[in-house]
Amino acid sequence: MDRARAFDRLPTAYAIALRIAELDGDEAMIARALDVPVESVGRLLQIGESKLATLLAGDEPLSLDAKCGHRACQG
Amino acid sequence: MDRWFGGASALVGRREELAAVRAALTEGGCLIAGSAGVGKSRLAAEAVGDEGVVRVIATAAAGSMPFGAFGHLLPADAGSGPPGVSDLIAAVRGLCADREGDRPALLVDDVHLLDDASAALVLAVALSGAATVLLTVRSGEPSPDAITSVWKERVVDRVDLQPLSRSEVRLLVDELLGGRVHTLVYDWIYDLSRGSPLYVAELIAGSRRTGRLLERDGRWQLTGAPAEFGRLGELIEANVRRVSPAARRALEVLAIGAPLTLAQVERLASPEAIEELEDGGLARMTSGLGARVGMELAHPLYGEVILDALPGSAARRLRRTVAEVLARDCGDNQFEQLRVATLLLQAGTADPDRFLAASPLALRHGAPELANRLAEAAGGGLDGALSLARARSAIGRFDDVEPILARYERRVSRASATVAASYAQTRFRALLRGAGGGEAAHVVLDRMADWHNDLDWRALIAVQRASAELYQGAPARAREHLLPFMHAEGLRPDRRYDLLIMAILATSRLGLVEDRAALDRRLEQLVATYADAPWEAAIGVVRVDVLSHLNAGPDLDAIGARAQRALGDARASDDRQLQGMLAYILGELMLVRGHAAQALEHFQTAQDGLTLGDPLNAAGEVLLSIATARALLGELEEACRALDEAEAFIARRPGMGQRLAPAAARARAMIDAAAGRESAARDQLIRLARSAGEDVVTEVEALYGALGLGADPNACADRLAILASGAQGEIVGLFAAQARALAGGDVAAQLVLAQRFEAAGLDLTAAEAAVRAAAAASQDGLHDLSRRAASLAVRCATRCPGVLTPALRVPIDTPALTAREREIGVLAARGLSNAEIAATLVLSVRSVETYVLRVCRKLGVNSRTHLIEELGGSAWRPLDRRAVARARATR
Repeated sequence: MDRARAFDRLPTAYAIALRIAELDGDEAMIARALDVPVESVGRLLQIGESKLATLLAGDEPLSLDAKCGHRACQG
Repeated sequence: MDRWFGGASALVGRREELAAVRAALTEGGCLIAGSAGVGKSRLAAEAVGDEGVVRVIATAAAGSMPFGAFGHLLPADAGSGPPGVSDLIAAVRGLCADREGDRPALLVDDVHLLDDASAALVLAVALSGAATVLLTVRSGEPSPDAITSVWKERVVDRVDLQPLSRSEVRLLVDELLGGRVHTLVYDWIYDLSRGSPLYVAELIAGSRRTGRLLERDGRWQLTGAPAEFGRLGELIEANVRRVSPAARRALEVLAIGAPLTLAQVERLASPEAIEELEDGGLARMTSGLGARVGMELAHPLYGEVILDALPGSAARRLRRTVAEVLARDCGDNQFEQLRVATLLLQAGTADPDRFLAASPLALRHGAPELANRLAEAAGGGLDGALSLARARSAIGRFDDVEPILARYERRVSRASATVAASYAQTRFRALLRGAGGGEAAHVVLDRMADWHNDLDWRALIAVQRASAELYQGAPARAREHLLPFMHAEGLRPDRRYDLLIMAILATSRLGLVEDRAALDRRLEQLVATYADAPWEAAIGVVRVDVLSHLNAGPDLDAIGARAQRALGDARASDDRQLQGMLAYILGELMLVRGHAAQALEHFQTAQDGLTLGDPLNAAGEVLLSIATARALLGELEEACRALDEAEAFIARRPGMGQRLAPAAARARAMIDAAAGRESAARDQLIRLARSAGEDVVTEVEALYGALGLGADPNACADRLAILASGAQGEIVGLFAAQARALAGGDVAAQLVLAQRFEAAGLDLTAAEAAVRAAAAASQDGLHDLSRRAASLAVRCATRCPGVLTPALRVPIDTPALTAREREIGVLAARGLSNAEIAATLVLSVRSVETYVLRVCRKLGVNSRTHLIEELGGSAWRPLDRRAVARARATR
């Protein structure tokens, strides 16, 4: 999976945190954006990076693109 | 009945979060924060496993009484005193036998709902390191201060749990439903739940039960138009509405009475109802102590939803019923008795005797508001009035006390001396701290003086009068009241103790250090032989040591060591209130030495302890000392905030104004000085010196402070010399000599005096004197003397990290260390090896070696040992290596 698509699959908060970090935003900026205390940003980034790595490695057990097979779902 | 999924749903999409929480647990503990229903409880349960973990759910109902959430964990005989960390840890250990080798684990859900006493207990357990602590907290909800400290101070790591992504919700739906699922179902569930796992589970459970979600042709799909739901609470309420009336009542019992044992629940609900809740996943069994099995709601939200929907009258009836069941089990366990009384109080049931007995218990357990409500409900009579007065004092409503107690004056005047003494002390303390202050207290004391004529009574009145005089800044008059009793035979030990404490404080303020030392020895002897000493006795000696600091001189190290030992004892006995008091005292000591950063840490600890009670009446002093410490550290905004808080405190307690006036003036002056308004600071201190009256210590400190801010040294020297002639001990004389040396431009004398200040342990005073000496010597071309003074200034200032007073800003010919050299020199002085410094600062070992050599050359020392001496390494706290590791990780 490419990076952009992996970002889209992340829970929104982690995606925002990682984006800000990539743009050299500091922990205080991430904390303000997500309305979380700055003390928890380190762990939040750690979780976000792990989730991103999982998605990039293709470990996600279910793809959003997978259709259930029912004809009502195909359209 | 279909199983409810909420509290016990599958853990999906949380692999990384689980890893993060488990990592945090290996480092001491974790707090999981997040919105309601985001899966905090489920993740926490998974992280610590099922076996041998003690799990506590804090609830709003249990949070209304001290240690409410921990009732089922504490031993039945815990009622003789406040439960301590050791009680809780013993309980946790007892349940964790199968985790042998591991530390016991304590999981507390929804810690924002804990009462203050329970929260302080959780903080203490986390700090003790005796148990792995895992907490959950709802984001955005106000928490007890102790809980905020747990993660703010990094005692445990905080993980903020986020909602699931769309794909993770799909996984959860698959897990809950099994089989194939129509895409529209996924979309409907995600759009409504916005990633909340509990919402997903409740939505599926409710929709299946109503037939809105059906498995048809091997695929789960919606029937009819998708239903709209609002908040998670509404969804849960809609689901709860479908349980049987008996099961609903059992839910209400659990919501109101938690924590309850299974046996207690069985007395309040039918076996069928209990079974229905268990089968439906709405409630579950928990481990208690020994043979006691508990029962609790499967998710904290259920309790909130149920209580919200319960009409007030029904809630009151149920509380009364639960209280009756608990009353049968509580025996002489004071904690349970308090719980029963609290439930009856909330139920609006009149039980004056029970309330009267429970009010002092609530006060002892650190719940003064509850004590006040219980005393109010207990009704009249002298005992009731005394309980109410003590509770009102504990919550700072001192002015309420006088009308409560005044009406019993005539009756008490004819009562026994024991009753009269208890009444007099309660009334007097409130008067002194209320709007009337010392003057109002004297008027009442005039009337009380004649109630009895025995020696003990007269000594009691003398102590109260001396206390009022000290409040009014008149230590000489205070001493006069006490003198006739100082050698009287036959006094009660507690009265003798009060006399000695008061006498030591008065003589200290008069600068009579030798008299104070003699009294100090008598106090120590008394405390050592005083079997029933009040708890304050443990800190009495330390307290007077520090509060009479000006003349303590070379004993500062010994005083500090004694205070640290007392703090260690307080920690060992889990007495948080005492720890708070000692932290305040140690903070004052650090402030005297100029170690503002360390002082600030102690004051912050003290503030936590003061929330449990303030028998030394130190809250105002702590705020003012925080303002002073912050000003010394250049943290102006925070200093002003602390001063504002202190002034608001004084405005609420006008009686305290006179006692706190010197400390307030000093704090204001420090803030002015730190802000560059040195002349305003100087004028403030001169005014303070002029208004000090009998209080020698205040006048000396203010004069010496003004001298450092440019006051006329001749005038200061003359006045300090007069004060020194009446004072005992060396410090006032040293201040006078320093003023004289500054007036006469005697640089050599200034250097010698700076060394004397250093020997006395007054590091900041020594550093400032040495800076002045160095600057003056440099101006006079006395370069060798200047270098020695500069070296002394650097050494002493380094022991006061972060402090920058106007005197320290004077440019001197210091060995010019660069920021990097200083950083490395400091780490070397704190005992780190070159390799450790290199690892900490991400440098090569060779670079560190070069820096250390350069620092040694600049400071004129020829070895690492001398460097440590030069930078005062031995006076510093040991380095927190975990903090260093963390700093490296975030670098």
